[in-house]
Amino acid sequence: MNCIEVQNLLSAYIDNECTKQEESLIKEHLDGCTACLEEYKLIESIINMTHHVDEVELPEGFHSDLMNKIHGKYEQPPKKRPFYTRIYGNSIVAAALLFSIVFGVMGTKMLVDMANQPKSSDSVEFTEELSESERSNIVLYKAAESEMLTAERLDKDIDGDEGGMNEAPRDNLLNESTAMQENSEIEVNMTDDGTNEEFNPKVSNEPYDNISDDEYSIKSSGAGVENKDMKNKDSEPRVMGGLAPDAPGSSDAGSNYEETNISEYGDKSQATDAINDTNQGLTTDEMKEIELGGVLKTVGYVVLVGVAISISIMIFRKKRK
Amino acid sequence: MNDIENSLIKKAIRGDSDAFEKIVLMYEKKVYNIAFNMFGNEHDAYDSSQEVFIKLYKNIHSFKFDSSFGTWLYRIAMNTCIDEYRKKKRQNKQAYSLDEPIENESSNIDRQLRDPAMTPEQQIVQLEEVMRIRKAIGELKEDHRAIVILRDIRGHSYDEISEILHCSVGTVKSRLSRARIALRDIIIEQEGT
Repeated sequence: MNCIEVQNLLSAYIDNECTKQEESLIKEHLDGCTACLEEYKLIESIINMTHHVDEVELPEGFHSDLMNKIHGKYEQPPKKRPFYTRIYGNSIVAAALLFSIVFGVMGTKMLVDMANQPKSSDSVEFTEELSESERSNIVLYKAAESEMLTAERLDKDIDGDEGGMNEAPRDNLLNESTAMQENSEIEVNMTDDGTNEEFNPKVSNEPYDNISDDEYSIKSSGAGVENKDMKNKDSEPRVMGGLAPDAPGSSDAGSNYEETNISEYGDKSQATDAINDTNQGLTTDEMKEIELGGVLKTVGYVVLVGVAISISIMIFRKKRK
Repeated sequence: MNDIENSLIKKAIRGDSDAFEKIVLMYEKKVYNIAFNMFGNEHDAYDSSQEVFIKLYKNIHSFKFDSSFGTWLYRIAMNTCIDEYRKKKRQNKQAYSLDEPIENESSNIDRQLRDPAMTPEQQIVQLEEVMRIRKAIGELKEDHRAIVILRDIRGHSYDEISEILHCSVGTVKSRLSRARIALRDIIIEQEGT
């Protein structure tokens, strides 16, 4: 081995990281080479000096400062997310409640109008009308109810707060709320003949005054709609009688719709005759068409909106996790 | 020891903050010293080593148990210190600046008390020697400094160093050899002045 090779291996030799062969060759060389021996001794003493560089103590407060930084900075972000989710969750609840109120009002008005129709209609027809409108109302009411229940359940999951409409700050949140609510607004506006023209988040009486619906002949009922609506919603289950709603808490909104749809279509032939007598200025066929189309459309849109809400709820739940 | 450590790590990954704190307590002095040897002063060492543990908090879930936890953590520490050091150099700041020995005096005195065989003169000589070495180490290139710190100051094996620096044992051998020769040159130059 020559001097250059030896000097390159001195570091490993001092650390006992050479092969046995290399070791014996180096030893042999060092025995005969003063220059390399000097180099070896120099490197060895420098390494010994570095061994005297001992550990220094941790500065005071290092540990507590570090723990504060970690718990202060890095545990906050997870808290932020529920805040935004809370807004979304409440928007969904708010939208669902609004839906239930709107449809409940529609149904109530329908009932009231049917009840106030000219007395020439006999009791059988009246009952049939009532049962027909009851059934459409059941569809709407159930839709609203299940939406509300699903939304309420979600709301309970997110925070224990009431999903009530009564808090003023909610209005601001609702105004900024997601496209989901916009979609529901659009779909509601698409129901025929101008029902629910304005899906105004502020629950006031004005929009309902303007609702007109050729199919159901709803007339504006003026002030106090909201309160009446709430009372009527409570009393509706009793009015329905035999057609008792399914157990609340069912989250399968779709199957509710199907059941009531089937019963509704079955009885439609009876109902159309009754409606023909009471509506003025329209032919029987036109009335049939309008009525069928109207009911179908309303039901269809309610189902669509309910499904959209449920899907949105599911997505938000997944995102939260 | 490893089993206890591994179970602590698993708990910390699951979010147990007590377990994480225990891990910090096990390693904070060692990490601080690596940083102190890289930067030469308490201020920079403090900031860098805190940064190392914050990185650990954020990334502990990515530890795959395929190496020892210590070498994994020291790799984070070395990379953090080297990156910070290079950043300072790019900004033309003084990247290595040595504290006055009085800052470390208390720890030196403790050590000397443990070795009563040393006369006061010997103690002074040793203190001066340590200062010289620290200064010389500070003049090394950062990757030479890193490997001298890991081998000669911290006492890691060639295998451990290859894991920490993520290179082959052959690279460790040759880089360490060049680093020590460079250190020798610096010291000779120092003693010449």
